[in-house]
Amino acid sequence: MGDRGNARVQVLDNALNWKANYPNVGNPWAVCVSGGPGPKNPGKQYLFVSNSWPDSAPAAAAEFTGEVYKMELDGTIIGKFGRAGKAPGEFATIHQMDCRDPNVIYTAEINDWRSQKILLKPKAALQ
Amino acid sequence: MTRTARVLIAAVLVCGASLPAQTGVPEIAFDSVDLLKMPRDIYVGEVAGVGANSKGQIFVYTRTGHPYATLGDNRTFARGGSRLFQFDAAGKFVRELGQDVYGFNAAIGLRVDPQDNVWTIDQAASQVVKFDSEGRIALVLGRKPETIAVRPNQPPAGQPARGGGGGGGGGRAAGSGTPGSSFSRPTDVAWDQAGNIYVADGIGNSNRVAKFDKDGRFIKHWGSTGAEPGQFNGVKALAIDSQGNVYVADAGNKRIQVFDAEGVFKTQFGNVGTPLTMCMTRGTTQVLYVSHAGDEDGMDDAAIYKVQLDGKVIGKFGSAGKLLKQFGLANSIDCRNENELLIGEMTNWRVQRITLKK
Repeated sequence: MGDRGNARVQVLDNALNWKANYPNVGNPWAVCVSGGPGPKNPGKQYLFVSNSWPDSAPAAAAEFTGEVYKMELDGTIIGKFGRAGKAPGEFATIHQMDCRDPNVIYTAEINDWRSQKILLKPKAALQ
Repeated sequence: MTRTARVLIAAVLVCGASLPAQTGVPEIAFDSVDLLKMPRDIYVGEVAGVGANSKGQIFVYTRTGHPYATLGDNRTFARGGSRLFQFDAAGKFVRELGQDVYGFNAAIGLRVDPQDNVWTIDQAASQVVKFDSEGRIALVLGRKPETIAVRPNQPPAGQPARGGGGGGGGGRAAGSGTPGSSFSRPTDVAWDQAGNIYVADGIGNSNRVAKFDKDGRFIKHWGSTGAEPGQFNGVKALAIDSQGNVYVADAGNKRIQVFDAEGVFKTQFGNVGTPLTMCMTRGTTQVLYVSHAGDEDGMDDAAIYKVQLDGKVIGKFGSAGKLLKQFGLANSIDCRNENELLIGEMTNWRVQRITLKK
């Protein structure tokens, strides 16, 4: 769960028992867990978290955040992309993401009135 | 401006006196036509903004249509109430753009940039929206408040009252300025030659000018509430000259202030009444047209001044009223052609094409 006001992601089990906090993600407005095994996915799932403006600040603070973190399910950040802004590849308050394929992320943005399709290139990043 | 002159101006303002009046302003002869030709079932309302592109096509942002306010559990959702129309050069209706756009609530202005993009400014949504030349939304500045007060001076339950304004939201102390791109009833937009975007913000709580790069990334802002140089009492309009100087219509203080591109105060001038809007010509010798409305609905005292960039008034034309060649809250001026202006009126729900006689 993206607990944006408390600047953390909380993890609960199926019975809603608390399991863990991930406090290293800014103010998470959107969280998404990628799909399980499939033709385009070796089977590993990832957690994507959008960091947008904090609840305590005006919307203008979107200028200063806007990153999306790619994380292991244990809360380890393994990469990030994007920044705040209005150009392609920049984000203004991502309110929801789709990440069925962990390398194809669809974003829904409040302040830019748009949805972007983001293609991640994790192998290229390692080269 | 010398330091002495700046101190003198500041002293005059502190003493509560107005800027020196210029007497003997000549009248400029002119003709007018009521321009817009609407289909039988589409109506122009209050014309907040009018502008023409390089092809002569005319765009009008007007308060008309059906405004809705839906009471949610803890906030009011507002939508509708303003529309964007396109006309041909003769004023014949062509089409509507941006039907049901989220940020169309209470039109306050429209500008067409040098690349023929059309920019709408909405004071209730507190947003500036850029439409490209094909009518697609290309950029959104500001965020529409999640709740827009339908009774502007009545605070939400449990919150103390705050003075005036309403509509734009924000809840910030007057004069504190606003970081970034959250506006409070913005009124105008302008661009410098590098494509940087300047927003007049506005007639709500902010009283500032906000500057963005061409992609909409916030750069800086300046201004606060007051009457000193660099302060504003209702930022009503902007214009930028070929040198990059920023002219700000400071309506409540009855003056135009001039800043450099970084917001450093350079000079100011009066003699233009209460400036409601401005338009700066694009020729080699640029001039400003400034619309004055001396009363709330512009029906008692109005004129349009032609002004040199040093503040010297060249002449004026028009008066308050509803006949042709009269104006009722001339809230928008297009001056692509120095001697053929488009004047959009709020109170009279029309656009006049004005031809000035040399």
